[in-house]
Amino acid sequence: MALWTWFHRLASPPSCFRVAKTLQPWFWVPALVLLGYGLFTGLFIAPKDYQQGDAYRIIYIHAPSAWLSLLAYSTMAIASAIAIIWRIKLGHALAAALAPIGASFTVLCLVTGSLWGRPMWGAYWAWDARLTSELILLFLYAGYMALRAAFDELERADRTSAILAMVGLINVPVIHYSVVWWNSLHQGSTVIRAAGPAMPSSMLVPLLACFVGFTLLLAYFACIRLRAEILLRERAASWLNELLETT
Amino acid sequence: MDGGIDIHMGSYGVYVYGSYALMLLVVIGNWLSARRHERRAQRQVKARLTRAHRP
Repeated sequence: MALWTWFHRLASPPSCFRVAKTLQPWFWVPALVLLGYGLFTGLFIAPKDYQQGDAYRIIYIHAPSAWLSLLAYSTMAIASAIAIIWRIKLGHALAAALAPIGASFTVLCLVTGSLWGRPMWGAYWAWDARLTSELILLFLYAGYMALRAAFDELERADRTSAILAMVGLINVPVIHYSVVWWNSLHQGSTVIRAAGPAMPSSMLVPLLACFVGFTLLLAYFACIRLRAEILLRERAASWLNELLETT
Repeated sequence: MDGGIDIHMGSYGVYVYGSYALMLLVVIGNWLSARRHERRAQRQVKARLTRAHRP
């Protein structure tokens, strides 16, 4: 019950607006430290891969951006479901805030994947299950944003795009398990495996730092965009006028 | 060379450095875009507030 009360309190726009502002420095400062360490170590200090040589260093960008593309979309779909089921409008605001960030990291994932594929597979692109399902994710992001922009009325835009976000969630497990379900050109999971990570710690630690750093960066960008979404949605609200008059 | 990078990376350099450059572009682009979105929202709210207080 206490958790439910806390959840409802946090889901109110004034609380969320303030919490998002408070959290921002707690996201971007550790994100920069972890990314500085992870990217520098991954690029200059980690040893070469015995098969892929230096080309494997793209993993420090590619794998975290793939993770962010899935994380942002899953969060969007869950937030949309919460907004539809419990009529918590903040869910729509969060989904709208995450869409452009998730889309940009999906593009980064696809392009870095192509740049990795060229020297390893001899081709920038293959109609492989993993690559194709990730491309579908980009189309889902694009569709979500286009759908939002297509409506003048915010409530209709929220509702319609939320349905698309929820339906598109089915693509997330397809992306994750595509290398297991189909005979894929893409390599299998390197970090999350039953037998443990298939990397030495000198390669793995900077990669994990990049994963956490990029996730915190996503949270930071989401906070800024969520605050902007709240401002636009609540511009007529008295709490916002009081807040702006005092600042 | 077993440890660390061969700074030129042979033919791989363009792909690896290209990926890192692209990542920087995406991060900076995201930051600028988010800040612009935030400033636009603040401007709209302040404009509304000013209109509401006009005699």
